[in-house]
Amino acid sequence: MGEDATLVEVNPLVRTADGRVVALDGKVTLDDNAAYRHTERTPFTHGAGTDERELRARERGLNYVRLDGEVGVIGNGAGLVMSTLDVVARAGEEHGGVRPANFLDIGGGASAEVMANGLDVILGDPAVRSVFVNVFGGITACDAVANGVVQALELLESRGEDVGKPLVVRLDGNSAEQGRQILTARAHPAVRQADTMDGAARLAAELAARN
Amino acid sequence: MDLHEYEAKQIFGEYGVALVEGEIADTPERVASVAGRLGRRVVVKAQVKTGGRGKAGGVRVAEGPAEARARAEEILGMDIKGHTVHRVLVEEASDIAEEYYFSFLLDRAHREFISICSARGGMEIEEVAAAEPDAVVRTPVGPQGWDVRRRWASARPPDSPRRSGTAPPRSSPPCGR
Repeated sequence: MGEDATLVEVNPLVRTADGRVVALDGKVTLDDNAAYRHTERTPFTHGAGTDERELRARERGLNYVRLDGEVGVIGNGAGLVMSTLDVVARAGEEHGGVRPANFLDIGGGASAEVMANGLDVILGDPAVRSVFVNVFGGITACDAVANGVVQALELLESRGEDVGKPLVVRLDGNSAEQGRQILTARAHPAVRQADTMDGAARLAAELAARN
Repeated sequence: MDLHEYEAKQIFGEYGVALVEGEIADTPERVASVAGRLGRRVVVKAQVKTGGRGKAGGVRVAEGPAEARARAEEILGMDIKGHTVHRVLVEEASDIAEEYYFSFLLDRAHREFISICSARGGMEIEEVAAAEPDAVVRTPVGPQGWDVRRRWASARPPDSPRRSGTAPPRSSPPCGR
């Protein structure tokens, strides 16, 4: 209870021949949602066995899970990102089995900084060959997201990082038209736009297969 | 976040749980030197966050430093269910008289903490529960506490005689709310 553990398991707990009772194995799961109350346990997250890229993402407050494919995925909202993974995997079947490279939910807001952090983590993954940015504007307006993408690319370029991997952006919902215009006006060589989620997934998969 | 065995044991140690002496190591040389310090028989245990380490050959007993080094060479770098072994825990080997299973966990379906205790330790608890349900006791641990000790005492394999006064209730008592 004091550690906010959701599992404490000892298997086996043994009685030895000389009568001592000893925990021979130990399995503990700590509740990540309570991690902020247990900074003394933070070193455990840095132990071997946790993906380095996931650690970097976590330090920046991103909800990122690394997968084993080639198409980087960024979206707003966990549900949208999960369905994006499905759509990418499906589209990838037509391109030699290309698959999503990660789960990344940038949540609401999608500021330039969050977008830059997200792109940084994904573009830095050597397995990634293309990126699909899938945003449905709700409370977050697409023009803000488009500005975020543009500024994120500039930020990464100013840091001298390679942003040559193709970026397929699909904007829909609140202020989608304004968002698309911002991206069109900026005309970054890496950025391509798609109108639909399926179309964007096909394009991203195709680009990943070709790169 | 799932912890490694050696991390879990670090927490156990802070709470005064009895452990055997051991040390984490990431090279065969280090394993040999730890084994030399610990004495005659040691156990070399792969540190990966997955079950079935023993069945996969990731937990091996060794007599002395030279054998510990040889076991470590086999275990380090081994792949266990997609997890590469980077470290091993080297511990004193124990003369085991009896093995039990013991846990506390959050039962999300019932929205409470439960304790599971079994007189058949060392095996996967799911298998024991399926094969010998009488050997497993599952009891809620209420916010005001529950008489969990009495319930633990009722976990026994079917072939062992029951002590008087500890007959297991057939169903879990309701958790005090």
